[in-house]
Amino acid sequence: MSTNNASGTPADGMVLSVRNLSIDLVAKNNRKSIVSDINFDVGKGETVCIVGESGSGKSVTALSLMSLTMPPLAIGGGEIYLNGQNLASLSRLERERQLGHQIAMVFQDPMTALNPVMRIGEQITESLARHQPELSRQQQWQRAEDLLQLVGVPSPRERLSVYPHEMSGGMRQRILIAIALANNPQLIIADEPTTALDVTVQAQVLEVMQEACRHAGAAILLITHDMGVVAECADRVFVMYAGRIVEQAPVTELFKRPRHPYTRALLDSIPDLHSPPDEDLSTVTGDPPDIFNLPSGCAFRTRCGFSNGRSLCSQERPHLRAIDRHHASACHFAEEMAGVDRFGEQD
Amino acid sequence: MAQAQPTETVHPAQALLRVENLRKYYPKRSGLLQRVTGAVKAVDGVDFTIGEGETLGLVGESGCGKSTISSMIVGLNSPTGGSIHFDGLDITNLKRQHNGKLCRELQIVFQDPYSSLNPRMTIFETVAEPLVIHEGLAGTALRDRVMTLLAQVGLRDEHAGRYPSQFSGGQRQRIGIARALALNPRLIVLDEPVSALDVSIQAQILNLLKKLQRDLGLSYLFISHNLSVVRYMATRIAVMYLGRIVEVADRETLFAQPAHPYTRALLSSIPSDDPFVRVLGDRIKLAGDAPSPAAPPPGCPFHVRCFQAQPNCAVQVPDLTPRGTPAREVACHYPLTVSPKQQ
Repeated sequence: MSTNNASGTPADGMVLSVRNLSIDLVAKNNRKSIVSDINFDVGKGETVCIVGESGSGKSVTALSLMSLTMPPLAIGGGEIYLNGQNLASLSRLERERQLGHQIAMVFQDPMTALNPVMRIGEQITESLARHQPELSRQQQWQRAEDLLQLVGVPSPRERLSVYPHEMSGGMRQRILIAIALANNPQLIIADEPTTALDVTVQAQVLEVMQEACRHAGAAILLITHDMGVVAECADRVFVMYAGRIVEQAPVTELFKRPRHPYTRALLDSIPDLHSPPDEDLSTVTGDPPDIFNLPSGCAFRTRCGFSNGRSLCSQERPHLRAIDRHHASACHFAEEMAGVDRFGEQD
Repeated sequence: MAQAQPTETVHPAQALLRVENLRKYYPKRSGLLQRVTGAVKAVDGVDFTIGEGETLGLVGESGCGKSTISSMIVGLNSPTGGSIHFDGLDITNLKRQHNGKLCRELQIVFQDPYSSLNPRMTIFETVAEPLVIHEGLAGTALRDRVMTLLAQVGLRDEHAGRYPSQFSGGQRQRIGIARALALNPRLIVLDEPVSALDVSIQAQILNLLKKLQRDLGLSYLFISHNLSVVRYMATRIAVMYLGRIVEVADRETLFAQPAHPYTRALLSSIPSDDPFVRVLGDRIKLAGDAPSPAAPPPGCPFHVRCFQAQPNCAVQVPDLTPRGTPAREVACHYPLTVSPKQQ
């Protein structure tokens, strides 16, 4: 499957295709792109991760897919195809009908994403009533109960009549997943769904989300900054840096043979349960980039341990290009990293 | 209080900080007259020591009381009971502003570098303030000391005149560390010092903290919810659950042979760092959520979620007692003996 397709047409059989998407920050007489050249596809039932640090543009990308970008943010260009249909070509009403039905979103903070003065059951049936008006009231409540069952909420019938504040963070996040799954979407966009949760609860919620989506046949677009979550969940990964995708690969390939110096440095800098605790961690030097004041050429070059001050890095911005069939990197010297294998012992 | 006999490996002989039976109860009020009807036991009988030059890691999930402990140690919160000794001195209810030694020697770095710096003070003023108050430094001496401190944490001279808003999260945390170092402390409480930072910055700050510890012989109380980070920073680790310490052990022991079922469940919930070996599917699945400290279950606070629980776990609260080889302290009636990752 070609995920480097930048020609402006959706790939066949993909739930979601994003082509040349850019998002601008619009001020009075000024427009500045904060996310550019985003191209990716999500296939049926796949789990695709977008990973990046804060400010890398991953969350605004997710919001733009749901047409939730608010001023001063605006989609600057590009197309979003849902099952081959360009969202921009639809009327507002039709788009709203599609979104929330075919794509649903799970937000980061389960404490604020639910309406505090509505009972859980009402919040779930609200989205059912909107997108499946043919269901009777009783069918809606039955469906809501089934959904709570699906996401592992104990005694689901009783839980339908409680308020969000009566539930823990992990339970609330399950409710959000249940609401997202209510209309059998083909794609769930989860923006940092476990960042606000404890580690044991995070493991539960990730499992529930994957299990429920598998059951419902929904693909997942998971936005995260946590490489552990990526390693556990992803099929394919897109790494974002300074508003652009800098690397894309299947998850095992990305962790084993990262082909962008940023990915490599990031993976190496995270303390894990195997790293020797008495040695210094390797670091990504410098600070995350200021999106309004990016270095010329490659945005990562000032922090790159690989560029060695080579002039090409400062002169020309590297484009995301295919390294091999499934792997793409936006580094001028990606081929030089070919020998790098982070797990020496495997295959 | 635990009648535990301190053992050599678990309690270093030279304890700089000794916390005994520390408790913090918040009154629970209800009814029209808001009468006190109970207590939220945020911290309920915690004992630990930190030796000179040592790092004790304190891990646990949100609401387990780890930050309450840190605020009591630095005097931002007064304990309901128990004692805190620092360098032999009982500091449990000591007013910090009247004790210069304590202010100098016991410092804290907060979690959120965005709210813990005064936005109207330049970096120079922020770092200089403790030096002016406690050491009466002024003029060139003050300037030199501040610049040395900034250099020590990897900031440059020209940063001194700027305001916190001009810095990134990682740099702000460096400023917070410089401020904590200003008075040559012996113990620094690090309350989630990297959890608000970007992943690419965390390693820089962790390395800096380790380097400062080596260079200056500092002791750390390192509080975090991230076990991989704690493993990297601490030589001894205490695991908290619902206001109590449930296990204390050396780093190697804790990670290789966790004895408390909660520790083991916690370790098994850490996501893999290797997509070839996904681990969460095989994790120990805990039933339900952590109970509220306002209504803890009777007996062992963990028994309602525990996969090992026996009938008497619901009756008797297990004390933290030394067990087994290698030595560790564990508060469980039926500690695990077989390691999950035995090589």
